[in-house]
Order: sequence, then C-alpha cells, then structure tokens
Amino acid sequence: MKKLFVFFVVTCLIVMVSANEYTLKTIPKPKTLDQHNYVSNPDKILKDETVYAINNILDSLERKTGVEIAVVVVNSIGGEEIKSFATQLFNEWGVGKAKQDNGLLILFVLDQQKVTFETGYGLEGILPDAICKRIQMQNMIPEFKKGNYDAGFLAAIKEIISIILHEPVPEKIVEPIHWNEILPIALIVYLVLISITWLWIESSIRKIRKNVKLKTNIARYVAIKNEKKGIISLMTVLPLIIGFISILIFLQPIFLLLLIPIPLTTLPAAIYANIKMQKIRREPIPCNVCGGRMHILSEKDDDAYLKLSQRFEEQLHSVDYDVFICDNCKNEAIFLLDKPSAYTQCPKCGTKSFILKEKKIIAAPTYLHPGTERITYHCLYCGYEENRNRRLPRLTHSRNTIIAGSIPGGIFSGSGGFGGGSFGGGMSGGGGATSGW
Amino acid sequence: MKKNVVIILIIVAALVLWGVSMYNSLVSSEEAVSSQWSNVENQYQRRADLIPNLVATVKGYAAHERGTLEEVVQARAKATQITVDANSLTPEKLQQFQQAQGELSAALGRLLMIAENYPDLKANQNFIELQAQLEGTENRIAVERNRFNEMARNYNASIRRFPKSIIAALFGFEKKPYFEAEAGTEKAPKVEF
Repeated sequence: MKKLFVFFVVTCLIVMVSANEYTLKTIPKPKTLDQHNYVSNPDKILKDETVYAINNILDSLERKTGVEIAVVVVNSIGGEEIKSFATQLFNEWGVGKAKQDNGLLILFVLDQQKVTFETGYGLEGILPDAICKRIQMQNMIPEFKKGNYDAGFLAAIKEIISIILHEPVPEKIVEPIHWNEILPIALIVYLVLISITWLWIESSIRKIRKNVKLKTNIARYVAIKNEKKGIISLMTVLPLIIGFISILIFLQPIFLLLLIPIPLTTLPAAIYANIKMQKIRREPIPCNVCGGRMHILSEKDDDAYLKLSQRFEEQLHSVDYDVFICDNCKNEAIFLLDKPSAYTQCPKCGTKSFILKEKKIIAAPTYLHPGTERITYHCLYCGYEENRNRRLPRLTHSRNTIIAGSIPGGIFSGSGGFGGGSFGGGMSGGGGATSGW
Repeated sequence: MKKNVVIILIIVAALVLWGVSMYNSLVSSEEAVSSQWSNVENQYQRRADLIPNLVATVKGYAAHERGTLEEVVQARAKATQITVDANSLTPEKLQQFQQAQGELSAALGRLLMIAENYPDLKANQNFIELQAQLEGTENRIAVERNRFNEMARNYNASIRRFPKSIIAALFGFEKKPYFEAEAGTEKAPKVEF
C-alpha cells in the first residue's frame, strides 16, 4: 500500500515536471482556436495585455502584407537545442503562406535563457540573420536581463514590423503553365473518352439488334434511344466529376478549363447513335402474309394509310406512325411511337390530343377555409371537355422567407473567420538568429 | 476476332500509360533530389561568401594569429573548388565534397575559438553580426543536408521498390549517395557569447 502511494506520488511529480517541458506536439498551436491569435503563451510568462497587444499588431500585419508571425513563449523544451527545435516547429506548423514562405517564428525558452528567430525562406531577404541578431541584442536581451519579458517582446515586435512594412514583401512567383505539355495529354484523354463512348454505344447497339425480345423496329429504336441517353449522360458526368476532383487535388484551378470540352467528347458517339437509330427504324421487315419484304413509307406518303385522328396526332407531334408496305402483296403494317409530350389520351375518342385548357380558382383559400381550383382539360380532336376540381390547402403563416435567407448564410460563414484555423503552410530552412542572456 | 484486337490494344495502351506515369514520377523525384542538392550547395556557398569578411574583421583585432587565418583562407579556397554536379553525384564525389567542407568547418571553429581571447573583437558589432550570419548559415546547411538525405532516401527507396524498380533498371536510374555525419569535422563550430 505504501509502495503504491510512493509510486503514485512519483508519477504525479514526473507528470508535473514533464508537463512544463514542451515537445513539438505538445506546444499549443496558436490560430487553432482563434484565427487572430498568434501567441502561444501556455506558461503565462507574458501578461495577458501584452499578448493582446501583440495579437493586434500581428493581425493587422497579416492583413496588410500576408506575413505570419508566430510567438511562442515557454518555460522549457527539455534538453532540445533551441534553434533546431524552432526549425522543426516552424515547418510542423507551416508558419507563413505556402509557396511565399513569409513566416517568422519567435521562440523564447526561459530555462535556457534563449530566444531565437526562425525566418521562412521568403523573409530571409528582409530579415537576414544579422538583422535578427541586432533586434535581439538591442531590443530583447537588455529587457530580458532585467526580467521585463513583456517590454522586450513588444519592442522587438515593433522593430520587426517597422522593417517588414518598410520593405515590400516579395510577390509570389507564378509558375508558368506549360500548355504545350499539357494540351497533348488532354487531347489524348479527350480521344480516349471519345473512343470509349463510341465503343460502348456500338456494342450496346449490337446487343439490342441481337435481342430477340425486341420484336419491332420501333422497340429497338426506343431501346437504343434510352441506352444512348444513359451512356452519354454517364460519360459526360463521370469524367467531369473525376476531372474536377483530381484537378482540385493535384493541379491548379486554372486547369478546370480543360474540363470544358469534355461534354463534346460524347458528341461523335451521339451522332453515330442517332444515325444508327434512324437506320434501324427504317430497316425493311419481313411480311407476315407472303414472307416478302416490307418497306417503310415516307412521312408524306404514309398519310394515305392513316386515319384522320392519327394524322392529327402526327401534326401535334404526340405520336409518330411508321407505315410499312409489302413489295409483293401490298400488305400494310402500322407501328406507333409514343412521343413524350404534354398530351394524354382523350377518354372519349382515344386520340392522344387531350390537354390542359385552363385553371380557374373558384374559391380562394383563406386562413380559415381551404379553397377549390377547377382545372379544365379538352381534346383538340373531338372537342370533348372535362373538369376536375382540386382542393387548395388552407393558407398558413409561414416563415419561409427567413429560412431561405439563413441557409445560404450558414453555408458561406462556414469557411469564414469563425472558429479554428491554421497557418498558411510556409517553409523555413533554419534562417534566423539566436541570442541568450 | 475484332473484339480481341480491341481488348489487346486497350491493355497495351494502359500498360504504356502506366509505364509513362511511373517513369515521369521517377524523373520528378530524381529532379527533386537534384534541386535539393543545389540548395545544399547554395548554403555552403553562402558560408564561403561570409568568410572573407569574417577573416578581414578578425585580422583587424588579431593580426598576429596569421596561421589560423591562413588556414581558414586555404580551406575556403579548397572547399570552393570542389563543386559536384547533381547528375554525377557519386558516393566518392560526395565524400570529397564533404571532406573539403569539413576541413573548412574545422578551420572556422578554430578561428572562432581564438576570437574568444579578444574581448574587443567579441564586442565589435560587425563581428557579432557576422557570427550570427555564420551561425544561421550553419543551421541552414544542417537543415538542407537533412532534407537532401530525406529526399535521397525516398528516391532510393522508390527505385528499389517493385514495380518501379523495373522502370528504374530499364532507364538506368541510379542510387543517390547520402551525407554521413563525420566525427568531429562536420560539427558546426560552437559559437558562444
């Protein structure tokens, strides 16, 4: 029991001691909780008002120039060498904007009595080591020796800011895009897409032709039409989605332009399928009376074989009729193709020319009573009319407008300033200087 | 019959595309090693560029330490002569390079040790800042060397790993050497204040 107690106390002590020795992973990263927080001050070595002042200065600096400065003030990092620790911490956090590498990390370790600056690659020109050293020796060390850590930090940061604001931060170098390398690859991809779509449609047309379940030309025509629609929408949407995601992950957004021609890659296959469809529909069929061949009549000639109502339907484009005539016995066969249209079948004469004529509100709905609406349909061919009544729901006091306004607001605020954040992903290579006191 | 031909063509095309992408990824990782090598050389060059200034400053306060000063100048001359092209980076050449730079580091270390004996020199603003630059450069050298080793290790692993090893053997991608920590010589000169 006693042993256990000793063990417990020792463990507690170890935990307490090591809690003050920060490692790369345990140093609290500023900006995670608040985008406008640049200072990591877990041991409260700096006063709250100093941290507040530094945050204000650094926030306005980032807004003006994009330069990110992180300040870390800790009691101890154990036996780690301060400079290499700073280099690692800088790159772990990615202080500064990516590519521009315009970050600066100020690391202060009390028990080593040392302070070090780690400059990102992009700041090395503005803040060379000699300048870092000078700032440390003139602004920080004299105050640190007296224990005035707040004064030292404020003076140094003001000095750094005045140097950075004095000199323009080098602009980001835009890498030229090698279109002459990318375009051939894109062309190959387009060609591959064209041929895949073509081959796919070709093979499914062949399958439909062999399919014994599809007995008439029209049935095959419809089957190809549906199949074509499916293949083409898939071959348009899928490459667009895959391309969109992979470009955003691997390339710059400018390459999204390469996606524009993708819908066109299905065009040859679509045209091919349309020609094939028409051909299949007009193919001669065997005569069921004499066994001879039946040929399709042209749109003009077939009118003689159609009823008045059927001709009327063709005029409305609600139904298409194909008339086949046998070469030998003059046997005739009529096939019909239902076209997608607003017309339905008339309940009286059966012609597909029944359509909505008008909607009329007989009794307007109120907050107390439901209303009634009369919908009138009529047949364009026989003139038959039919009324249907529809109940209109009671009015309610809705808050629709408020909801509609708040949803987009919520979506856009997600990426904004509220909540956590991070540094921009800058890199450093060990630049900066260290001073002790 | 026709169908089979199409299938074979598609498979061949896929294999070629795959090979090309493997080859390209090897080229870009080799290129990354090369550009990292030039980062390393740049940092060494930066150190060499600092030395004349440093020597001149020390000379002003400790002219009679001629032996040590000359040693530094000679070591610098020797080290700047040896440059290694990234594409012909062999273990022997890297060894030579490292040796020469190591000698320069050692000579610099001795020079800075001597400087300890001259309080006036130590208090000179110019000397302090030169020392800070030198120290920063040593840090940069260490960082860039580490990154070079890391990249070379990745690249070496990728040319040995199947199936990239096939492409690597086919097109003659060669292993890259590493920097090795040398006893004593490659230690950064300790700068104490």
